[in-house]
Amino acid sequence: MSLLEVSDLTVSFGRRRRVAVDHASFSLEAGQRLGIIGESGSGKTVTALSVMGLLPETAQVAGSVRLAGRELVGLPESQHARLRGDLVSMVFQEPMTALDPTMQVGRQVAEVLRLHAPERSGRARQHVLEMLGRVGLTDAERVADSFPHQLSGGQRQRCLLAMALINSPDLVICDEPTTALDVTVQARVLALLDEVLSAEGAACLFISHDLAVVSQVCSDVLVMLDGDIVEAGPVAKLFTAPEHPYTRGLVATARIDQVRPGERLPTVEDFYPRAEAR
Amino acid sequence: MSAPTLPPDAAASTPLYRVRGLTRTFGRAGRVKALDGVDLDVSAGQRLGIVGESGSGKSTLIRLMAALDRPTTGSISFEGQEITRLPEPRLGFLRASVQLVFQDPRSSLDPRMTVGSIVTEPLRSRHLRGALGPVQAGVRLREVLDAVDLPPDAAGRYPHEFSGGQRQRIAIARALAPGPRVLIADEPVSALDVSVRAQVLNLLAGLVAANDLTLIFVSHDLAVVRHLCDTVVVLRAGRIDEQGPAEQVFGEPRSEYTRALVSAIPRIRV
Amino acid sequence: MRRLGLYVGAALVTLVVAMALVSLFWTPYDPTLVVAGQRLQGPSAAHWLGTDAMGIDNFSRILVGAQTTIVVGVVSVGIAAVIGVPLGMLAGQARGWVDEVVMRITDIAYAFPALLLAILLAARFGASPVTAMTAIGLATIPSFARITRAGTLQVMRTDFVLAARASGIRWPGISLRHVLPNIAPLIGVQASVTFALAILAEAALSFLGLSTAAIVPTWGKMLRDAQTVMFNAPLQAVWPGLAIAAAVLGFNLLGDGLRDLLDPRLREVS
Repeated sequence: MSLLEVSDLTVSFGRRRRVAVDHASFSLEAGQRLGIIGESGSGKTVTALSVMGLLPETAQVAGSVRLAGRELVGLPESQHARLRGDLVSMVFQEPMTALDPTMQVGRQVAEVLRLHAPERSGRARQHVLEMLGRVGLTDAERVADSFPHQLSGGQRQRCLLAMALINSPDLVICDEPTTALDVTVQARVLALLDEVLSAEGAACLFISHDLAVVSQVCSDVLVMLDGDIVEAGPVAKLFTAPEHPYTRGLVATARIDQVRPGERLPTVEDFYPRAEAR
Repeated sequence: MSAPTLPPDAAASTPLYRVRGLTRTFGRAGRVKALDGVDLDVSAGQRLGIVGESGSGKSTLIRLMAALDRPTTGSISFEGQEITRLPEPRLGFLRASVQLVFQDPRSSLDPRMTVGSIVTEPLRSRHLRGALGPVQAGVRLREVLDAVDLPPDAAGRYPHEFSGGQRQRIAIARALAPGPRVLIADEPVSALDVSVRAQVLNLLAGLVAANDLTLIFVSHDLAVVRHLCDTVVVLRAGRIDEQGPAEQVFGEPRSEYTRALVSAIPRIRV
Repeated sequence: MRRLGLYVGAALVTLVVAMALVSLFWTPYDPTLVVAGQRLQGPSAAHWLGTDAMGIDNFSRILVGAQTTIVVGVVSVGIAAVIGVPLGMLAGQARGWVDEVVMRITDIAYAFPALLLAILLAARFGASPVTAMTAIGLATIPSFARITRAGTLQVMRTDFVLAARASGIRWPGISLRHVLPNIAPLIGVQASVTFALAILAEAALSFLGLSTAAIVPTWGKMLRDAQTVMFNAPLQAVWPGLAIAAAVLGFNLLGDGLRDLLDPRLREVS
């Protein structure tokens, strides 16, 4: 049995039932890292949110999402909430808005711990400091006592990572976790993510629009386009021998370093023409 | 590719832009130094990339160069004329020549104006009316919409009816409308989907070549800068860390920091 | 349904406006005609809402009272908006000491009790609807100025304003083309809420005898008349009370509904 089995997942919104995800199926083994690539509106974030049970109320979900054998579609919110932060956790794109500005980050990390592992909460601070150390924050004490605005973007993202990992979840969902960061910080956070995921043995669903970033963290990739999964496979195969024209276009545009300066860049349109008006 | 690689003091003729000792501080008692003693020359036809991480002073620098802000100390001359102390009414020569393209077209296009009025707005400026004479706004509108590959009927619609890539084309059309000689682009593709970035970059490169524009291109994406620009300035904490021809800066970076930046560019790893 | 409030508000406002319009041409009876033999009658087929202490038809008075209500609302909101909006835009665009001065004056005006202002004006110029409207209008200038300034600051921070400035567009152009259209919804909401406030304030001033001359029927004055006969004919207070409540509720619901409709943060979720 796979850790995560998504079959025929269909998510639509609003009265007009705009379809965001259309009969998507994929699975994820324990410890496996799967990247989801797609542009805005492709359905990649909606897919992640349906695993987290964090879709807005206007969403209509059909199909099946099974996490560790448990069906999540139709699961009451109270039960879903118990899984979040425990069995599955999420790292968001914007660390500034994902953290509560009025609370020291140490307390925010501890809160997740208390919620799901009350038996460990007696020594919560010690656990939090240890976790902050594991995500590469050398002065864990000071960081724990800081408010979000007193930390740098990279430090904040590390804190979110600590929150996501403190209960040793089986699955960590990362939604564009480094898009808001500078390149040098991004490189460090990606290396760290790679390291801690290996150490914790957690599986990862990694959402990004950046193929290069995905290739550094994941072993497998899904490509989503307008709610459909158009291609899936191991990173190496997808990036060297993409089949779907859209994927071929994406790979070509990501290889900007292989185009001589001044020459025309390949575009997705060259491979997969479609009306741009959306 | 002929790269006019100009070390700052080797330029024989007067550079288009001459920036000396530029410093801009913010906050009480100038505690935050956004720019700290920047010297920079830009010659006509140059394609200059300005790279740096957030807080490096990139945006402050281009705002000063576009005379949208005043420096704390230092000077900027454009075509030999000092601009930092000129009052707005006398900046006409700069306003007519320098146009900007911003990062996020959702914020840089007024949602309550039609594309037509957005694109022709620069032509309403008193400076440009003076410099260009009576402008046939309608003719110019069709010309620039065509130049950015948008249909003429786009003029009557509103920005929200367009995709991100198309909106950035509208912003580029607005920048082209007054017929500028310098285009300052501030992270023009980083808010766009990867799938349309290449198109917008190709468009920019083509327009710069076709109109003999001087390009000042600000980005955190070194791969893009390397592709588009002939010279590069690396900013770090308000100071110039390294500058030179693009090939040299990216190929054999001299400073530790530039080396770190270059090696941090995410590459496809298979 | 999320927009229920908006619809109910719009319906109530329409009802009040319709009553005022109808009363211009037709009322069941003359709203000033005293009929000695018909004092304090209860509701009947002839007099739907009964008659008052002087034998005047209550329904006719309510209809005509809507006129005063609308006029007072429009004029007070007009005074407040015509002075407050430009002040707020000035403060938000000029920044610096101008902003400081305008906002401190606004703060002081905000702290001045509106009722005291009305009494002072009535004492100086005599109690009339004009002094009441002036007092309400002047008293609500600060809230218009504040909300306009906040909206202006937001618009001034956008890149489209920066783009306009980079083309040499000066403040009048920026105010008219960018700031005003983008803060118009904000001002609309404020106007609707202030309208409700003005209705309530005018009723209170009428009740205190600080507004209307004796003959003109207003809802506030009807309440005042009802007070003297409250224990004999409690319904006399109910009709104008209901009318005031409906109008105030209507404009408040309309304002809140518009706010929800226009708030981009709420819109994104749907």
